[in-house]
Amino acid sequence: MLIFGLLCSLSWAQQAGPPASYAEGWVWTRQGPLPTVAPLTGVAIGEGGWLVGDGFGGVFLSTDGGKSWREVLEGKAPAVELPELTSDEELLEDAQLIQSDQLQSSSGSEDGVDVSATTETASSLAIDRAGRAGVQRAAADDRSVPVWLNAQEALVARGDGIWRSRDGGEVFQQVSDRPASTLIFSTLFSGVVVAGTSSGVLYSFDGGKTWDDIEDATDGGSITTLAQVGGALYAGGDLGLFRTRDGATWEELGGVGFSTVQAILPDPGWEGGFWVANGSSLLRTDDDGASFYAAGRQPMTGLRGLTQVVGAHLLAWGNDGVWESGDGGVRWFPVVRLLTEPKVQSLIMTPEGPIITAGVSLWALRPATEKKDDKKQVSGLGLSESINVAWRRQGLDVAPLSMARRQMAALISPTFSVDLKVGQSSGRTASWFDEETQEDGGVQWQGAAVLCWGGCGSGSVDAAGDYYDSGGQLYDANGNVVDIDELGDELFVVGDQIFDQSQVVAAAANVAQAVQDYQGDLYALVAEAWITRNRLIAERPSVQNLSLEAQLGHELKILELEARLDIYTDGAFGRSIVEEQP
Amino acid sequence: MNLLILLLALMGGVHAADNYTSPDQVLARFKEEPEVRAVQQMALEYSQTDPRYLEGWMRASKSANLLPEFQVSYGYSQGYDDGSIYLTDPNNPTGDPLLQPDDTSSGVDWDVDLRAKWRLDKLVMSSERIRVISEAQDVVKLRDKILEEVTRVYFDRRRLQVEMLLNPGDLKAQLKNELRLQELTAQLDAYTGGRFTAALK
Repeated sequence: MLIFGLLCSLSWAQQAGPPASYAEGWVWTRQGPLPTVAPLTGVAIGEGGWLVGDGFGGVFLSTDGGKSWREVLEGKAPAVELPELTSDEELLEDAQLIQSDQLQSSSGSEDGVDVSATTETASSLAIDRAGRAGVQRAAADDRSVPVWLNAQEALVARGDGIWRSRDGGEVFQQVSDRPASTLIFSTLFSGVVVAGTSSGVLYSFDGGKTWDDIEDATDGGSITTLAQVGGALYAGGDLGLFRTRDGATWEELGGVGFSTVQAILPDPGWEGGFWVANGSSLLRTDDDGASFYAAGRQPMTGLRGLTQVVGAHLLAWGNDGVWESGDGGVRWFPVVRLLTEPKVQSLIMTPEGPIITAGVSLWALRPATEKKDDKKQVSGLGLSESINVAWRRQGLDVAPLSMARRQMAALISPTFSVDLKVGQSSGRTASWFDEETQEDGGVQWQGAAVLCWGGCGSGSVDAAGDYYDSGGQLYDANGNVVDIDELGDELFVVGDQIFDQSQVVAAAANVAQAVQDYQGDLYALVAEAWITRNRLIAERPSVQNLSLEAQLGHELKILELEARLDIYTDGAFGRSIVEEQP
Repeated sequence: MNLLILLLALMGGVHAADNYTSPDQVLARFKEEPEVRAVQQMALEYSQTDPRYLEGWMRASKSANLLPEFQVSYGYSQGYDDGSIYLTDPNNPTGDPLLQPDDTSSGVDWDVDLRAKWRLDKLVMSSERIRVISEAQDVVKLRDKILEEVTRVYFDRRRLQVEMLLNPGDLKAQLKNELRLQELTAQLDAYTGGRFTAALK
């Protein structure tokens, strides 16, 4: 089991695909439009199509990859009575009032719905409203959050309960009237669907058809997020963080502060490790929730969600847009290029990149396409390329440690031996009675080729457990100092730990983890140097008005940063500048 | 070179700030000195942390198990055996049996055993490979640390040189700066095994 876990950990660590950083070269592009003026609150993408919920509780379905949309579940917001409007001027004035009112209401509450419609949208709203349909204003608990259970079945959590569709999201029927805000399909407890509601959790054992409430510790509190971490299910909300291992008994975990828990993200690379975002900070636990500590030094406030891209590359989103970290949540950088809506309600990863709901639109993060005739303003490797080069330097490549396949191959690989023997024997025997002497002798040849699987008779002599390390000195079980060079073939030392030959996988995992840790440091070092260098280059025109000393200081800083980037890219950064020069 | 700058400065500020109009002109004053990348390379050579060394290690760790484990043994034995039997002699009044020689044998055996063993599993993954990767990672960290320090010292020195060139100051300040310059030069020499000063000459 341990080996399996390590293999999983290693194969997870070596996945490829997404860029090392979205901060450079990727931009947000608006998708849609959707037939709603309410802010979008959740998105689910599955085989059945795209489902998007809005702040009025409405749900929209697209079966062509987000190109066209239709409303499949009507919103439930209350109507607002308005005076009769007669002129365009009054309509516009009213639209501005609505917009101002909506902005105020959204900024007043962190959990409030952000209706940041444009003036034009508000105008059309007012026209629509005065034009006889009536304007609806979203209440805070009207947000709808869809999830797919499979290609046909979908559920929606919203302010008036839980809704279910069994026909690919075309028709929804209400299956619970308990206001809900989040749903999770748990693989721990025989496929039970768990809903986070305004008062604890609900369970469905039949794919969302019926819902049961069990008296537990989560009752009375609003549950905003659910996550499966290892062999446990976690629920977070305004009462804090809860955990169940059997699906029925919930225990409250301390140490996560007093703000509403907004997101929980398991760390597949660390058993018992996960991150928790509450309204005021980002926390981390390495011991399955026994203790929490601040994940980094930056104040990460207003977070709504977390997701993992790959390895230590994380994304966080919330009231200030999207942030990314390349070192497991220690340092964060904004990913907001061309994102004009700061308040992000939800994020979902797709093979092409992340998709978010922000404002009244869906946004997709995609690589920027550069115009052919555009010249790069700043020479040198891009940030993502620089980080990639830094990570793939000789000595930091973890590909040779990819144990999943190698271990299997090693297990089935035999020991091959060839044995050649040549010998000669000669003898003489004399008999007294027969009075004769016999002589015999000759040369003998013998050859053998052997393929051997398994122990092959070599036998294990030592085990790593027979030795211990203390104060930089190695001792055997009897307390005698041992010279590392005399350990023999059965034991080997990696870093400051001793392993025997049966622990090759564990040793490889340790090395891979150490490499990953250093890659996290490199990410921050390279990103900081790269961003600062580009900022200084961009500031050159304004520095030209300063004194010669100030200009020199500026130029020397740029040169120093380029030299530092050269360190981490084995000179590739400097070479790219030279190549780009005419 | 440093003393020359100092003397020139003392003699009336030949390179006063107002003689330069752009940073490029000032930095061109130091074009005879090795560039930072050259100094980094010197440090790599001296510390033997150049990536080329790592490539050699990795190649060696891959191919090490292509060679078999050889075992050669030689055996030699020499034997001699005398056989005797007891015979009953009817003419012997005591009735004691007589010991008579029966046969004699002698022999010489030798053999040479040559054994070659390949651990094919170690070609796929071996503890040696993991150790090399671990060591290589440590070398990368060490190299990054050394080069960071070399780069920092190099640019501290360059800033000081620029300061000395543009704002020589009074005699006390000049002496202080000159000592600091020598200290930074010595630090670079320490990281490059003296190659930096050698390149200045």
